[in-house]
Amino acid sequence: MALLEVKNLDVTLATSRGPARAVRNLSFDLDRGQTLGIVGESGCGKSMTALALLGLLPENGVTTGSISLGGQDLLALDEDAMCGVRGNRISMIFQEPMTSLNPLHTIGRQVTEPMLIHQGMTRDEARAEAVRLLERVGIASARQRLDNYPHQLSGGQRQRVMIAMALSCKPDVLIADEPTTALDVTIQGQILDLIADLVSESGMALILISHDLGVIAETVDRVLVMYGGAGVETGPTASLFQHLAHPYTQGLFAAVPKLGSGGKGKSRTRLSTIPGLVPELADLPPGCTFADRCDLADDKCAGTMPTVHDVANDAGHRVACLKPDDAKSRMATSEAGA
Amino acid sequence: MTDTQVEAVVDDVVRATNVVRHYTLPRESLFRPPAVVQALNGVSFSISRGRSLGVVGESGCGKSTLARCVMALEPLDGGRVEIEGAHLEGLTPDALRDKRRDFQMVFQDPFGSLDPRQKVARIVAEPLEALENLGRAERLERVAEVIASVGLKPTDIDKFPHEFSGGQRQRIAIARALATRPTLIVADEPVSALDVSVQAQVLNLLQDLQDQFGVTYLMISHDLAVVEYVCDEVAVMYLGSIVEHGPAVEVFANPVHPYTRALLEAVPQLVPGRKKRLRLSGNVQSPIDLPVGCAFADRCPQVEARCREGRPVLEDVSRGHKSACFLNARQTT
Repeated sequence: MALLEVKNLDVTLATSRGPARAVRNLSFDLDRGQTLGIVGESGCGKSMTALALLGLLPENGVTTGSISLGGQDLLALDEDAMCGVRGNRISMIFQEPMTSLNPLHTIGRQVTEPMLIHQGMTRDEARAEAVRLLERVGIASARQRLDNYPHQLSGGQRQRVMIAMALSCKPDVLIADEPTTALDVTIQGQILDLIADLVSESGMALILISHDLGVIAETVDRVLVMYGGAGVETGPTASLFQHLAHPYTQGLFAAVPKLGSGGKGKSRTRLSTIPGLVPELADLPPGCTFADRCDLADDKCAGTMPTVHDVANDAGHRVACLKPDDAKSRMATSEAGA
Repeated sequence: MTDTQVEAVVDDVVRATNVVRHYTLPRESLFRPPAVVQALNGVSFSISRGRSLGVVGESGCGKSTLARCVMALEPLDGGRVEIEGAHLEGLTPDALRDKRRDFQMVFQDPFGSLDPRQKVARIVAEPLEALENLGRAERLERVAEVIASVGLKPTDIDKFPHEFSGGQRQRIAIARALATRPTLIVADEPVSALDVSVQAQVLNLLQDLQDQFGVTYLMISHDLAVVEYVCDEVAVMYLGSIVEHGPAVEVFANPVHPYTRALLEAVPQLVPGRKKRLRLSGNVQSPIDLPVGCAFADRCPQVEARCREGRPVLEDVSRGHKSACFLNARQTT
């Protein structure tokens, strides 16, 4: 049995426009030492999935399905029991290092807090451990930094502090929700390297959420592509980037400006776009969520739940689409053309 | 008129010469001089008609300050900016206002840059009301024209900004910038708030508008791939100075300055697997009290003693491709 098993997860938010299915019928599992990347655009449900795993959904959210961590069903736990899991066995690095640290408390107080609560350490033990953690995440003169406030640190350093906090109880699962989106590109590289090193050192499982295909490609072993709350394609990173089986994955990949493509000077090529807009969750069709923007879609797609197919005999590479063969042959022709 | 004459020599829409902008911070002690943020330290560039220059760099490098200085939204502490041959800082407020017709700006955040209480028609017409002396009918005609050229529906002009998605709002902001038929559009991170699939639509639109109207762009971005896609030329900034400048194709294919190399190296690629790469250590230094030597010396993997003693200037490494580094000669060989 895998460490983390998510089965048929559904998150429904009660909104003024009626129920919005923020996550629909999502299943994945993750073992110790594995890394999973969840990629998609805003509103695709990737952050909602993370919040559901932590039991941190907004009050209008209802979760069904099952989330089991080491055999224990997290959805069945009450809030007190969930508090023992959160920050202890599953911890999270949030997107915005500027706002996710409390500006009124010192770094030391915030890094030691989980250890005082979950591990019953004394203040001195926790402080010593905090110094070790801060040194591990690459903060210079860590002992002095404990008495600093967040505003005295740069963005990259604050994200390092967030990582130290998330690691403080040696979690089984680390969720990083857009950990580098607010950072400069040279700092982003440092932080991604740090996360990858820590994962291989400690053997924890990592869920990396990002909208940036490049970050995902370089950091994780497996990828889950989400659109409109549904997982549309999942597989080992190499296989997924090689085959791009779902029309949405294909569109997303083609829409990213790629560095070193020669750009305007050479050919003045146009970026291919996905027509239309990222849909409102309340307006999604009952069948395939991508149906109204997909150029392969026909009448059947919007009304029927897409079936799941294996792609290219690769272990675990699956796509949820009613027309996987059309998508595949399109990829083949575009490759032959290129 | 001298128009043909000017065109025969060199047809630059913008020319910035040695632009300096320093911000004095509040005094921390009575006995020490106040600290100074050196946001721009002598930046020079020009953009010829119908071309586009992309300015890239990390946060705090002064790229947004540069955009604001070109837009005459900030006073300069030195140097000058010429747009269509006129020195902006020499103009009277009335003349400057008149001149603003020629240069318009698109801001980063399409949620903050449109007044939520005004309809699209009014938002797009505002620069016309402020800057051009048009009758009502002409104004409406112009609004309809720019709304169509950015790919919005004619009926959209009676809606409020909240009824649009981020990408559509950025189209409205672009329509507003186009309304006075400017020759220069300064775009400060125009797509960084948008999703990938929508970002591509807006980038294509910017390209199309350039083909159609021949506008000149000064585009500020932290995303190198976006700049490579849209711009003819690129200037890389670090701590208030341009460290490398040249044709985009050339700079991206053969970067010369160590900072440009590190920046390009740091961009995650769409190729699976972890790459071992050169990482810059440390953070961007604070632009307060810059060192005497090269601003990049503290993080540069190839730093030498002379880098800390004098500041390198932009020098040609090949035709039109400049780099500010003492080691230029070595990098190109």
